[in-house]
Amino acid sequence: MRAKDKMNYMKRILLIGIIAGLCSAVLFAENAASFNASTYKNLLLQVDQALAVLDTDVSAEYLIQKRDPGGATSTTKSTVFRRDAKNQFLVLILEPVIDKGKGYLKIGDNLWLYDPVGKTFTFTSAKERFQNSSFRNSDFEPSHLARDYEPLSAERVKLGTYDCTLLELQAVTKDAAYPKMKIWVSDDTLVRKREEYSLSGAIMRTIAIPSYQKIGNRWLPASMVIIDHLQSKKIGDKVEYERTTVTISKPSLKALPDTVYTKEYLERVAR
Amino acid sequence: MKILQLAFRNLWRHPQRTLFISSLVVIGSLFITMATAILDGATKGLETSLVGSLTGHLTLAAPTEEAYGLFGSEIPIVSDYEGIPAIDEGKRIFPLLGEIPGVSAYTSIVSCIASVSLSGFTQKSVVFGIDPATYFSVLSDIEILWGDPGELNRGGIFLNERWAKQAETQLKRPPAKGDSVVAAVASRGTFRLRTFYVAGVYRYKAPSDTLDRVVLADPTLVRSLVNYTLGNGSLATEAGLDNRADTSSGSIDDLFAVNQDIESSSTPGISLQSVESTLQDTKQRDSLVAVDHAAWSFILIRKDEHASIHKVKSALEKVLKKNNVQIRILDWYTAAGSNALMLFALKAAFNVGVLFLVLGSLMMLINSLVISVLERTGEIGTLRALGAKRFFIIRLIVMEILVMSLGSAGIGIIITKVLLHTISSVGIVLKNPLLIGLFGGALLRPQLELSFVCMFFIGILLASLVASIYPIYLALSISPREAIHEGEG
Repeated sequence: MRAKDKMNYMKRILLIGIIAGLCSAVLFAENAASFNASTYKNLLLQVDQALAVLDTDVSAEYLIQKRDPGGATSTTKSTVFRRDAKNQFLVLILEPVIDKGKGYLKIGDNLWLYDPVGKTFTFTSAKERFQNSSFRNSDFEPSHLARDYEPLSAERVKLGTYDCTLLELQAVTKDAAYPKMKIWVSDDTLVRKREEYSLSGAIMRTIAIPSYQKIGNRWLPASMVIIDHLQSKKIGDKVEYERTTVTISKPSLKALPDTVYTKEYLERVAR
Repeated sequence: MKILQLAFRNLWRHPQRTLFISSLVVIGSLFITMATAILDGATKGLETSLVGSLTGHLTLAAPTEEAYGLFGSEIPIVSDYEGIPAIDEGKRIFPLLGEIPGVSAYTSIVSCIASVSLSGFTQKSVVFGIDPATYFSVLSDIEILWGDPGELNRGGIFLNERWAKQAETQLKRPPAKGDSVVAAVASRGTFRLRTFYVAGVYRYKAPSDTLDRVVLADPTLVRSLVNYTLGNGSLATEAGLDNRADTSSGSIDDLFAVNQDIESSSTPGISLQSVESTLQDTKQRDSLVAVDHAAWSFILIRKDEHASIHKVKSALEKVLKKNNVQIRILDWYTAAGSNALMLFALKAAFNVGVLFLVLGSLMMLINSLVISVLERTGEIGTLRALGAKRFFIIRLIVMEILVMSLGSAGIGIIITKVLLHTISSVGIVLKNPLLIGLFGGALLRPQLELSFVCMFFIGILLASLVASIYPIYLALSISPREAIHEGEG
């Protein structure tokens, strides 16, 4: 009798186990179905396409205003010429006056710095800070999210007035500026906010793009706010971070001559 | 003489104890003298390599709150390079230096840390803009391997031999005369690039990791690189500081409260022509970047061979004070920076260790002498009963302790001398780059100075006298009657 009870008890446990297993399998299958990586990879492609200008050049004036945590503010005004189809850009500094004519030229994978006073070029990394602000040289480049990242998770969230898809991304190429990233993509496939992380998961930068400007049927950021989490200072009870505001004005999609993206042009124009 | 004989006899009566204490003193002396010899050798090596190659005996620098040497700030910098402030009063200082007795030569340099590239080889280097007419007479341990130093006033750069060899390993060819060298400095939110040409190669007499990073260059170009310019005073202009910057500090998510997207098709875009015309006018910039030819980072002073460095320094201080010149005077080790200072810190730590060792030994010596006196209570009492005066007893005990301690210390020093003679003939070969930098060369030759030996014996003498106070007190408190009574019992 006792043995029979024990047997029944075991059967019951087994049954519960099987039911629990089936339930979790169903739930897991449902989750797997709700996160379809290829769908979100597609979304990344759409994001890249919305910001890429492949059939002409982009010209604009960038005003980069940096405020140190609890300290001084500084401003750099520069002109940017960009040719996404060939992965080229040219940045010419207009202000401050002492830096007038300094240039950054990206041709393919090479980024050159030019100092008109020394009439000298040197080579640098695209990941370097631009004029020591939180803006990086790589931020002048077009978006390559679909190429450099794969989505790990996705969820629908609200960001102020925007309904967004929050994507968690992981770098898949060594060209990626950051190993991990979170992006908030609004329904018009524009990235509204970005959080960039190190490999260990520490937050490095937060970028907000609160406004875009439409030129024809193309979108360009109109303003960006960058918080650099690595540059901080405790002021009273509050931790302040370096904050850089980028205002992009006078955009133009007029085609430019090929010679613009050459060292010779840079030498000639920036005397 | 009789006292000496008695002291020897007393020590001989307890050979085990005498041998034990003597061995301790011998080992202690050996340790202290060997370590001092090694550290002195290292200091001498570092001094020889740095004074004759890098710093001179004394260095003058602009007065600032922050400590810095020839290589810049001693505070580790994480992101941005802080330049070295220029000496403003160079023109007033140079004539004064000629008046100071003991100063044999002086020169001035501009110093900066830059990323220096030769073809595909890039290395973070210390760039010294020098005056070739005077630099090599102050720093006489620098040997020119090839090239005309005069070209250092015409855009040239002299690479040091090791720098050139590192470049050669990567480029698969030695640097040649006329090769372009680009130096880049990133500082205060901007960058500056200057091109030099290879004009020669030089060698340091005692190369080290510190010296290997140095290259010598045209001072005007280095001034321009380090921003010793007429516009340097205007910080706001340089870094682009102004009041246009956004000062809002609200939450970043607040920026999305309303849709701010705009249609830009109506506004005129920027044109290539407008940018080109803006860049054509460079008058204001050119006036700001004009080099201040009188600006120097440091003045290096070499003293006469026989002049005392302290006397020269004090004369210099007096003359500068009299003429109301605000300047900072650095000793060679302060100017050389952390490497030299680390050695001095090591010496200070060692001296503290020695102090503890001496105190321990002293306690042991006192203890052993007290036991020795207590064992000889009867003998001392009998001597007193036979008419020996107090002074005789004092002399006897002091003599015993001096014979033992000075004798053992002497043996320790003789062993050290023998060991050092063997070591010094070949030297201690250092392979660790950190130690090479710290000790100023790859070959360390320890040396025992006569002055240290004298000081050491004086120290032992004083310690022995201190150690004998309590045993003497004990010995003198023994009364002859009690001692004889104790002996009978």
